[in-house]
Amino acid sequence: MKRISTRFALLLAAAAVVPLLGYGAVSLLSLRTGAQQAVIDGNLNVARQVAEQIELYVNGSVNILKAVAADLQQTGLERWQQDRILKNFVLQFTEFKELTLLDENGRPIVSSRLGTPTVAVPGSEGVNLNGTLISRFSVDDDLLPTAVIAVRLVDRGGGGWLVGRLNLEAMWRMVDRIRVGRNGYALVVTNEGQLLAHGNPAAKSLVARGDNLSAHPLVSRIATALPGQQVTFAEYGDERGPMVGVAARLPSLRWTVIVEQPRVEAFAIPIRVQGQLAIAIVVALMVMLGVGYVWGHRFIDPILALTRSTRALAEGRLDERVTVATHDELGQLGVSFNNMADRLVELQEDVRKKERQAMFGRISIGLVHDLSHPIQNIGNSCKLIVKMFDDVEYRENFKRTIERELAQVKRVLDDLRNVARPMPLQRFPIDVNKGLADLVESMQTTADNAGLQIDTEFVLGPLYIEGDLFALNRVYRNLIMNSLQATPPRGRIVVRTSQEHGQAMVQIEDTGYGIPKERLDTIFEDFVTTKRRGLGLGLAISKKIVEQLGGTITVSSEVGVGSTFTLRFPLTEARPSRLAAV
Amino acid sequence: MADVTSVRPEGDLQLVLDLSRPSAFLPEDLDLPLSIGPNNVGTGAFRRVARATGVELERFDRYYAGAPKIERIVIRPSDNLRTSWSRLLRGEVDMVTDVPPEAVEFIQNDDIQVISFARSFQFLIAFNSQSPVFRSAAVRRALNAAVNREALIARVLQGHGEAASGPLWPRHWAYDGSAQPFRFDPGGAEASLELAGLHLPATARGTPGPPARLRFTCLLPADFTLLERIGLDVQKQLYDVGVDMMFEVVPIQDYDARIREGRFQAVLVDMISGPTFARPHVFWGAPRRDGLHAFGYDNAEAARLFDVLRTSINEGAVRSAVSRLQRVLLEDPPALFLAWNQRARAVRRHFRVPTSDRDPLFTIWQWTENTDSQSVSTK
Repeated sequence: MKRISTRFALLLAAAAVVPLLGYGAVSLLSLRTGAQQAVIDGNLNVARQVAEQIELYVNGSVNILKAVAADLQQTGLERWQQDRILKNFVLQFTEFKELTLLDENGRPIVSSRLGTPTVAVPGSEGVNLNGTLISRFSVDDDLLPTAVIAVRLVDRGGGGWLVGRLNLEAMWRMVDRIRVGRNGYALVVTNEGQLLAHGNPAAKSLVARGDNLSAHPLVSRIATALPGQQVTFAEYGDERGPMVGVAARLPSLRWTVIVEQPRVEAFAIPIRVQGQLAIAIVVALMVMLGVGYVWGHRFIDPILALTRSTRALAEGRLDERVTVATHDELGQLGVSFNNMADRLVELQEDVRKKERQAMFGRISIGLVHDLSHPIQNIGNSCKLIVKMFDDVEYRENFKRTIERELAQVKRVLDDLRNVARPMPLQRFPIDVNKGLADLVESMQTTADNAGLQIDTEFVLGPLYIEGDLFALNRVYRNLIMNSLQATPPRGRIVVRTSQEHGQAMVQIEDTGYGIPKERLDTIFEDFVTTKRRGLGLGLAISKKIVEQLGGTITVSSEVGVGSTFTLRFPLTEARPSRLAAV
Repeated sequence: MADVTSVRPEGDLQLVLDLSRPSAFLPEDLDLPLSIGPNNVGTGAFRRVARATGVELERFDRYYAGAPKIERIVIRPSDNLRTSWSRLLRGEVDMVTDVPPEAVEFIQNDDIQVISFARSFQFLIAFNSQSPVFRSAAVRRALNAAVNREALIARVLQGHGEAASGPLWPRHWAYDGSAQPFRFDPGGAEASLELAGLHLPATARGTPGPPARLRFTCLLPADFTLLERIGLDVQKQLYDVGVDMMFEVVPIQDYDARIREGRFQAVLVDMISGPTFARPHVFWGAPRRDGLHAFGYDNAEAARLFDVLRTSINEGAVRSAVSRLQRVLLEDPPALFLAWNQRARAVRRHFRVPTSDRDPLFTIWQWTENTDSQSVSTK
């Protein structure tokens, strides 16, 4: 049975919880995606700005070099003047560590260096930036990053090169200044994977060591990207844990600026907001469930109370009443229910009263019937004994009569006592067949006198049960006596035993009048009888004895055909001590 | 140590030096490099035990101040600073003795500490007093006035230095702070040079350089980036007053030999000049000896005052002599004094270095293991 509270919970879930959860899931997903994309875009903007600044810095340096070159070309300056110009520029523009003028063959003409010039025109491994050659990045003796830039000179006296060693320390500082969150840094990597700058102070040694970052997840993805494919973002893990990296390219220099940040830090706000939203949804859910629970209970409680009270009434507890404080239909239903219960109590009291009166009548009639005849006999015998006291034969007859009638009175009284207080039984292994055979034999005369035939159909061999021989004989006697009394002359009574499913079965079948179907259910109750005389305690006492012995008693009957009483007792492995000794 | 008449031991840990007269410079004289005998006898916290690819020192357990915690020190020479720094960054060595100002930020990280300290060394261009162009004290004063030391320190030394106006260590207790240092006065310098008869020619015809009222050649060791940068800056400043300082860049061995032999007009050096007056005395006041006092500076009053300092035994006399000596040296400068410099040493954080303003090398016997740091090789 599906309870109404379950139905109500399902209704609440379907109507409110599921939609709310769906909304929460969609909101969380959207928030997470949107916020993370915002962080990625922000970091990418930082990377692009750094790339732009680096490009501006390099282009600015190239322009300075071109300006110096312009001063040296076709101005007719003496060597010492050119020398002075180069030295002054190096002093003024500290991003240049050296400026050297080379002839067409690469021989130094003048240099800002006091010692031997150290620069040469970059070879093919460098980058050509609008006619300006830029060498690969290197670390100089002071562990500072440098690159050599060369500008072609055209002069009347022939060509040549103005070559400068560009100090990229400013780029380092530019990269150093980039700090995204607490642990997000920028780094610059060449097309070949060489690390040029790293904003993390702890990672600067990587630059000095000349580490190659080709294996860096983002760098390798950029390197393996298909033509036209732009890789700007990647999530990967390193020794610091999960990372988020974005990349901006410097096409002119073929460098890449990467901004990387621990994922937990980069997405801290989305994660926090996501958590807050999840908590809000859970709280809303809990509030909704709480309100639903309280409201639902207020709705369901009267129904449950009515259900409980109905069940109590069904179980016979007629004092149960329902308390429904609402003023709606349920309240009216509660009032009606209580009225109905009150009426039931009254009706039950009436029935009981009538039953008691009927039973008292039955008992009175039974007692009168059962006792009046013996009392009448005793009375008559007492009157006669006065007259016939001298007759020895009569005195003997009187004695037997008195004893018989007193025994009858005693039996009636014993029955009444047994109904009130069942007799204690003493159980021991007995053979059902033997007990029945002895009893049938003792009642054979009675049957003959009534013109009836008693047959026995016993199963072969003994049927041992744990029983009280005296009590069982009383049961058998009752049943056989009932059959004798309910069967017209020339009728037949069969006493049958059998073994079935580990039980001993005894059947007493007659060809008597039968019992009406409507009385079959009550014949084992106290003071119920189908006979015209008697208290109706025989079958009730028999049923009690059988059940005390762990057995059952049933009846089947058809009016005009006869009745069959069936007794079943559990078989026992035990044997009478006399047999066991054998 | 001419004042020492005898040396005798008293117990295991004490030597007694008998002097013919008071000798204030003796303690620092004792600190000068001494040739070590065949038994590697020394007085420091470590003693040399091997000299194969580098010097190897081991702990001297009977050091008077207590045995050092470090058992052994291996000194590995590198061809250049980059090599030594790379070794440091790779964890192959634990200390690099020289970190230029511009590299401090780069070297310093979670694993390496950079310790800066003011050292009693200064950059200066020493004049060869035997060279005719520097005979005039007025010319030497004019050259000192032509240089903007503060700008030099800011541009080249990244602010890690102090302007120098003489050879005496300004942090010496007897230093007279009231003595006026050289003032940057290019106009005055030009006027002084004019007065000294050094006129600026209109053209530079027939010369390899620019027109100059005074031209001289300065010796410079090859591959010393910082010295070259200083030379370039000073050259530019002198050029502005019509002085053409040319440079002759020579290998370091030649550089040392030519200084010893006096074969130079001027020389740009990074010279020890403190913390007491013994070192200035050796270079500028003592009688000429091989390898020392190579610059030929000869000022009788300066020599007398150095001698007073050497024998003075009371504070007032020392202060008075120092004050007068400062003024004599400002009046008759033996060199173009530029800047007292600072030095930084990089040490792996595996070591806990005592906090002080001293050179970490002087406290190496007090270094202890930093148990909070990761273990690394001890070289």
